[in-house]
Amino acid sequence: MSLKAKDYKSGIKPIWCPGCGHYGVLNAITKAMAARELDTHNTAIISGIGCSSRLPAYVSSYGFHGVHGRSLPLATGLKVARPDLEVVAVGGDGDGFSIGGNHFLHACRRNVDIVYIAMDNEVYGMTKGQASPTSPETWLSGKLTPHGTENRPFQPCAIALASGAGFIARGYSGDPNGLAQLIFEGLAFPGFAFIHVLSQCVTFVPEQTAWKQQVHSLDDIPSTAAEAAALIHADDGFSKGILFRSPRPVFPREHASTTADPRQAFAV
Amino acid sequence: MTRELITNLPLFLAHSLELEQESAERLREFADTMRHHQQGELAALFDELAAFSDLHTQEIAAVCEGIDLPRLNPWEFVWPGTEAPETSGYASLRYEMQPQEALRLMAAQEGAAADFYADVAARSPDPEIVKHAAEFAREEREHEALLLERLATLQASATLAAQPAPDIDPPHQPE
Repeated sequence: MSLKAKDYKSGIKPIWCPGCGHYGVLNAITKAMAARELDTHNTAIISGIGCSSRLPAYVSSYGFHGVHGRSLPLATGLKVARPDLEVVAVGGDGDGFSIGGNHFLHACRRNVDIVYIAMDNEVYGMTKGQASPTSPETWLSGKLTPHGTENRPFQPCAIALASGAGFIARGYSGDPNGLAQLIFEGLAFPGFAFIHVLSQCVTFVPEQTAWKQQVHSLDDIPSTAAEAAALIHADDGFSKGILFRSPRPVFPREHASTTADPRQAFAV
Repeated sequence: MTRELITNLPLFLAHSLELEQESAERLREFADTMRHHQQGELAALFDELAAFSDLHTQEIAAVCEGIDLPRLNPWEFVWPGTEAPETSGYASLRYEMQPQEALRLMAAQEGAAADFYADVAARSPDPEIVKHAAEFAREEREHEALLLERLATLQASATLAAQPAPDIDPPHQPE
């Protein structure tokens, strides 16, 4: 019997703030899992540290709440060791693009068959509202950056494309059904699927409630990396949909064994 | 109002069932969230409203008996917006929310559901769909009126706090 989305939720209740966008992402993940008819015992959700990284506890599957910024190495190792599992990495913008930024580049480049869902609220919410790598340059409400961040924000989708990700999408937590479809497509994609989610933090960046009016859908999926680059660079950051989809060989690749016993090469 | 015309009864009933089930599930999530944030009165209110959605789900399920409903993915429903019309967005919640805000929000959602059904009734070529949609629209309008009545009673009562509930865990600590 196929499961419904609510069957993929664990009995543990989220402790996110009322109004947090991450509820919508949890909703979308469970809907995508139900639509894909995933086995809960063959699925693992891996996270780092942060508000959004609490998510594995709220899903009825295997999970690992790992070290800050290290969701992607953990997910990569798990998928390479157990290719039969469906592996999803989740986290926030601080976890994924700051302390985990280097891992993000190499996960895109390496192309292991996992889905990475980055819930971007442009703030460190768990530590009460400091600027993150994606905070706008002129955001003045950060406690440690009263004059704004004075830094260009990290561009997750552009960097994913430049680093070789074959599937890049952007969703919005206020549209859980649309996001569920993107996750559904990401799960089906053979290779590293990056899903950037605009997920508002109403507590520390209440102005993000305006995202509902700002997001808009993309009509076409770019068919080449050059088209995707042009789209992403011209984009206002609020387009939702698939920004790029182009499969390429997945890591690790299959190789024919060159010798039955490698020790023979060292025989005296 | 809906993006596409709903052209057959099983498809219409699948939408009706989803509309109520999503509403009940979301209200229970809201109740859990508010309970965690020590807003017991709001949690109880959302639980109560979820129970009403459950009752309506049962009524629709009874209509669906013996009818083979299509299984749709969440993004395949043709709602006027991104979610089912009786479902409040997660961003509607605030941790300092008051019961009157919750009632106003839920009345608006019931109104949106009534509008959805009224639109289906007005546009569908199938008399069976028109019959059910008109009936569901009437029921949703009744629910909206009941919630607005309750809101008016609450606003008139002495129990309504003049000030918002005390903030027991403010997000912005004084520097």
